[in-house]
Amino acid sequence: MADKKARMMDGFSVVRSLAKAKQDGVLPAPGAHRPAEDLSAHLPPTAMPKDSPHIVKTIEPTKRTIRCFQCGYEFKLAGTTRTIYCSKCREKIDLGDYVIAGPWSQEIKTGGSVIIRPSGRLENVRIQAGNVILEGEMDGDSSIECTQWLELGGQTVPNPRQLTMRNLRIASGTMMKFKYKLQVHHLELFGTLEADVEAAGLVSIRPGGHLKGTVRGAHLQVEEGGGLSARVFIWPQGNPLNGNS
Amino acid sequence: MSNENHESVIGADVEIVGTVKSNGSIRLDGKLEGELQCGGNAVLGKNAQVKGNVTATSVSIEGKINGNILAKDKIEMKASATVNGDIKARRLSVEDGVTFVGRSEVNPNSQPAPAPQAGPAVR
Repeated sequence: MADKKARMMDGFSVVRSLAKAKQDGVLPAPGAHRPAEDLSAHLPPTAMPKDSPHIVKTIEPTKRTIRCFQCGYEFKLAGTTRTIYCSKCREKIDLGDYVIAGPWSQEIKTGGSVIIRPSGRLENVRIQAGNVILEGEMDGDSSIECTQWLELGGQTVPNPRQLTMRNLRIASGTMMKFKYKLQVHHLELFGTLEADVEAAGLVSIRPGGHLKGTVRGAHLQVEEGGGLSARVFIWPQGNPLNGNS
Repeated sequence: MSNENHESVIGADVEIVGTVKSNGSIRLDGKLEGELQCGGNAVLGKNAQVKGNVTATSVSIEGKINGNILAKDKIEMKASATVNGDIKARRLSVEDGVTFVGRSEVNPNSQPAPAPQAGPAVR
């Protein structure tokens, strides 16, 4: 075989040749270019498990949405970086993550995440972040503004007027009451929420979650174990306020 | 097909005006103008259209219903379901995509729903 002149073959020709050889019952000698003992170490293709490591899967890095605090422009970012510049106004955006586990009075403006632990306490401070997990306390002069998800957990009962968020998640064991209309995109409940909810996206009540009040929106999902004691207006096709019932 | 489960089937080409009562489970694919009282499970298929109240142990909805639903145990709304009316049950499962306008009273920790009361459909 070594003395034969090498010839270029395209992929289709290879496949066609193999198919013809199989049809004729003349398969190419297995392992022609490697010793027979090497072949025995590998399972034949038919015996390989479905999720064989030989089947390579490409994993796309997770993307996250960044919103510029200066101009409000939203763009997606894959990978990890500490800072980035807004593609529109060139404003520098911090993407760092912060964990607050004690008294905190320094302003934070980040496209990353801020976690306020149960021992953390916000004192006269404004927090602007992509995602915020609030388990600690905040005084009456503090505020939290989320461009993405705000998760309320622990035993904290913040004043809803101090919170601005796009999506809201109530953690398990937490009970939250909004006296005014709560307008969010997505709402996910593992705990209890009492509010007049208007959601543009999905209202999802997970097992253990409970929603009381009113819910208006396009999409509702109640998993078994979730509770719903509310007036419900769910119309996926249009605005529930303009529909005819 | 339903003998083993003792399920009564009302086909897609059947239209009933009046009250339907069943001690066992029932599957409705046709149209019903009136009440459905079922001692077992009630399944409203994709083509089902009900104008009236439904009372059953558990109710699974894929079609359209204009009326109140009272389930002793569970109400299950599939993605294609359209419900205009109030619901009351111990357990609720709602898939994304349903159309639902009404009051909901579901609390998994509460006692089973009281015995069904005969009454007119609200819508």
